[in-house]
Amino acid sequence: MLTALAAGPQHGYGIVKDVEALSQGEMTLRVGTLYGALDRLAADGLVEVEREEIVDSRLRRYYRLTDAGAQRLAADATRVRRQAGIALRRLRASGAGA
Amino acid sequence: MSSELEAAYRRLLKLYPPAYRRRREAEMLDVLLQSTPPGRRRPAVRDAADLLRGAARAWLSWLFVPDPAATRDGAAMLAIGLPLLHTAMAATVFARAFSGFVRFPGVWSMHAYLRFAWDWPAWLLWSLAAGCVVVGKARAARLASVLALALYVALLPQQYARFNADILAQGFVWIGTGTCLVLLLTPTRVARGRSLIGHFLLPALVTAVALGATRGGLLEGRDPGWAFHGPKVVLAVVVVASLAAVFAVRTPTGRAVVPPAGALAAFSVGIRALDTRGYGMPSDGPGVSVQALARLAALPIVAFVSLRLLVAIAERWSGDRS
Repeated sequence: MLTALAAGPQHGYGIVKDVEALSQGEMTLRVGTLYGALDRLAADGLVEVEREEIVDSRLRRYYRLTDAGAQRLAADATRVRRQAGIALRRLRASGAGA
Repeated sequence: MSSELEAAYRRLLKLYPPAYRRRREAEMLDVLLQSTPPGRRRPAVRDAADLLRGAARAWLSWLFVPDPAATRDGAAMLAIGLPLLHTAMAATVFARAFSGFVRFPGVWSMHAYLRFAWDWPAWLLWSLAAGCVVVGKARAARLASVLALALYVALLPQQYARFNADILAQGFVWIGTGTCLVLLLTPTRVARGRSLIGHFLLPALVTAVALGATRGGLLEGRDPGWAFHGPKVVLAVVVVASLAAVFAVRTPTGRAVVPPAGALAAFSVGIRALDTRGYGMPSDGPGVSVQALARLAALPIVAFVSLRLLVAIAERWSGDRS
């Protein structure tokens, strides 16, 4: 979800579609799960509401990453990249990798 | 999009807590309707199950996870309140020494008493911590409370060898509150606590000292606390906690403070309930059964859950939480 918000503010449905696209259709974020996760991320100060709009008489709330959220995402991405690099190097060294 | 589908989603969203629905329902409904493929007239089973799970989580959060701002203020209040509790106990310890000195002049040996009241250096340090809190020196207060706790923990086992398990059990109460004190006494919390009740801090400290000194002096030997045994202890905890809760739950901070403070109080008084075999020697065995220890462990949990339910209901009535 943090990755989905990294490109800019998104509303709930936008996050759902983005997560689906990012996971190449492997992950479907359902609404109960989405808002439970948004509550936790907001409580941790990682995301916040950017603005609200009324579209077709319905409330649409846009969320964005906070500075702390961007730092967390950068730290997580760095960690994953480092671990992936180690895994690939070991596979190459053992001759099992490409 | 069919109105039948929207009505079905609305029925599912009614399972969420009212405060949560006020904040999220319109938004969630919008996403649900956008996410549903055209032509569908009923929610998918997976979506319904996911909403049920989300509603259960929201109810649990509503019941047991207080508002973060109120929790911060509650922790700040405890950071201010616990040193006062320790000061009251310190006043009791020292008043006992002085009342004996006054009542039995010539016979009473202050030196002997202070050897008997083995924990007085720790109480002196805890009093110093309270004084530091009153003047806003949080780091010094924390240092004093760390030293007090270390000293108390170091001295307690010797007392177990000299006296009995009841001393050890009661010592755990002060180890518990002393540990809470070390964890709570940060500059931010102390500053916040002082900003919340700064005007009442000095009178509260004086009151705590006066109450503690009265208990150790005038009421020495007639301490009403010793009258509470067995089920009366539980009764006393429930009555006092309920009265405190009724007054405190009017504010979000009070609602954050009441459950943990009630659990701590329940544990403290529950320890007294363990004192069923008087002051035997260590050779008498621990003096408490496994069942009694299990009851003691359960008491703060029951108190916390009961009080959390109580404040959740009060919260619902007051409608403070959005």
